Amino acid sequence: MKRAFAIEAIVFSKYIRQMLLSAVFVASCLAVGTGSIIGAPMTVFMMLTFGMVASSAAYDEQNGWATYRLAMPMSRRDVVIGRYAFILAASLAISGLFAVAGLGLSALGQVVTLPEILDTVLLKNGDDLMAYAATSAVGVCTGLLLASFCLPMFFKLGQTKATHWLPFAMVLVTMSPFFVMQGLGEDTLASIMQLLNYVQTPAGIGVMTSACLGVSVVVYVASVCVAIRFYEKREL
Amino acid sequence: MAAGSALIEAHGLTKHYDGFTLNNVTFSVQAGQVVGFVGQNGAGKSTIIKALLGIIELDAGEARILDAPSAKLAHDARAAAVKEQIGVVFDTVSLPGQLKVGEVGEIMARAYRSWDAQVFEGHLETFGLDAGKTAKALSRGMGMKLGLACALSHHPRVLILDEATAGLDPLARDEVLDMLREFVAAEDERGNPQNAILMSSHITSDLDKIADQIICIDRGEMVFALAKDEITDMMGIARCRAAEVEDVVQSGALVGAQPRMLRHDYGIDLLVPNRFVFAQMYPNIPCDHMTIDDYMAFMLKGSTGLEGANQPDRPQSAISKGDDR
Repeated sequence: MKRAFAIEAIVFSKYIRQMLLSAVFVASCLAVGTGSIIGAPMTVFMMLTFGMVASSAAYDEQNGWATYRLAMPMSRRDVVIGRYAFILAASLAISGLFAVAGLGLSALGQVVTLPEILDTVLLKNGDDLMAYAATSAVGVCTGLLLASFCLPMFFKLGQTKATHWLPFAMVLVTMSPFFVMQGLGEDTLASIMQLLNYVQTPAGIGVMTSACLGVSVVVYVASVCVAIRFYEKREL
Repeated sequence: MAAGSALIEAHGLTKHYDGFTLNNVTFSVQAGQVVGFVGQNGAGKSTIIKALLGIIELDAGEARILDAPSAKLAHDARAAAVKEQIGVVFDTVSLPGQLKVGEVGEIMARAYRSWDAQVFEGHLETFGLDAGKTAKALSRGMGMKLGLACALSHHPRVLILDEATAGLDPLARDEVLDMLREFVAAEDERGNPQNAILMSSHITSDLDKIADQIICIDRGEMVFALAKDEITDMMGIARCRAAEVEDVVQSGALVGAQPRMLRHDYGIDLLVPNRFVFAQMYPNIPCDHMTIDDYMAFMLKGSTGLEGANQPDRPQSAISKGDDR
């Protein structure tokens, strides 16, 4: 598995560098647009998982790379686990960097006067910190759920005309609750509002964060098992 | 593995696809041997290579490399370790295009415990490959050189080459063939050969220079498996006139073998198993030496009858081993 992980790191190195620049740009625009850096780590994590899931399938199809890789001393199982591990590690590492940078700048802002445009978006208090943690957890959950659905399909089918649109379809599915909510009854909406109010409490944030991380890890691990079964049977 | 044992074994390889079937292919590659695969495009050579590496699953038959079942090579971690000793070159530069040559070396170093960076650097220099160039910027020939550099730099025992010399200029091909000869000539402490090569190629002149055995595949079936020297050093092409053919066939000059002939506008070419014997019996009939290409043409397009135009008669059995020529 370590070989496969290391090979993914080299194959993705240029892509990661490009994504890093994009992530800085997007996170900056988001912070200025929303007036806060709270959503930055979440956005970066989702960008990276989304991008790497789609790109990994594209790389596999390039020049018969997937076939040649299997001529190396690795099993199909190693390839799958290596990919899942790399996508998780790289996304966590980079979004973690952003999260730490945000915390660092916010702490600095408490003792030093920073430029107004920066000071406005930084974390100010405990509520901001909790929201920062909660949105990051939601981002990790969303990104991992997206990867958990798409990766097994790519390992089963490769990049085809249909699977090419899979990540985008998953993003639409992620956004769908916002459209669906308009059609919900008053009682359902009231229950949802109650839940949202609870989630904004310290206890609620803790529960939500734990649930997000727990569910996403369980689903991600289950996805690895499914992907291994698919890839073991796939004809290259 | 015992000295002189087969490094590659294939028994009854069978694989069905829509519109194509690989049918009952059997062969082996011994240590110290270079076996060349020839055949038209789509004949099944790459399918056989993928089956040997465990990349595709067979419908019947069994393959083994270095005594490990090929079926497990892609699925079992321990069997996968056998691939440390297998060097592979496919017919394209099988790498993501954005990778630089230097990064390819890093990938190989991570993939193979036995990776020798010094040997790799040496090959890059010999082949004139720039470490800063991306794989997609390499010409086909340079890409094949990179593939060969990778295959030769982790001390393999078996090389599996799928059109590995395609796209190389003649000088580079000669260099590569020298490397391959050196590779297959390597011996262990007791003086036993320890390496082997299986190579498919359309450039039969390369196989002429290096191969010990030639296996021809056509439409998924083995047509012949012969020692290369038997084809090039013994066989001949008798350039007969139509009137001479029947006499030659009935004279015994074909040493009991089934006649195979190619009809042309100017005459009939007749496959002769021993051109020296033939030349003594028929000094007035020109008899040229046989090349691998010529033998393939006889076996794939030649007929066994005197009547009518050339209508290819495929041997009834899957393999011609020289007895039913």
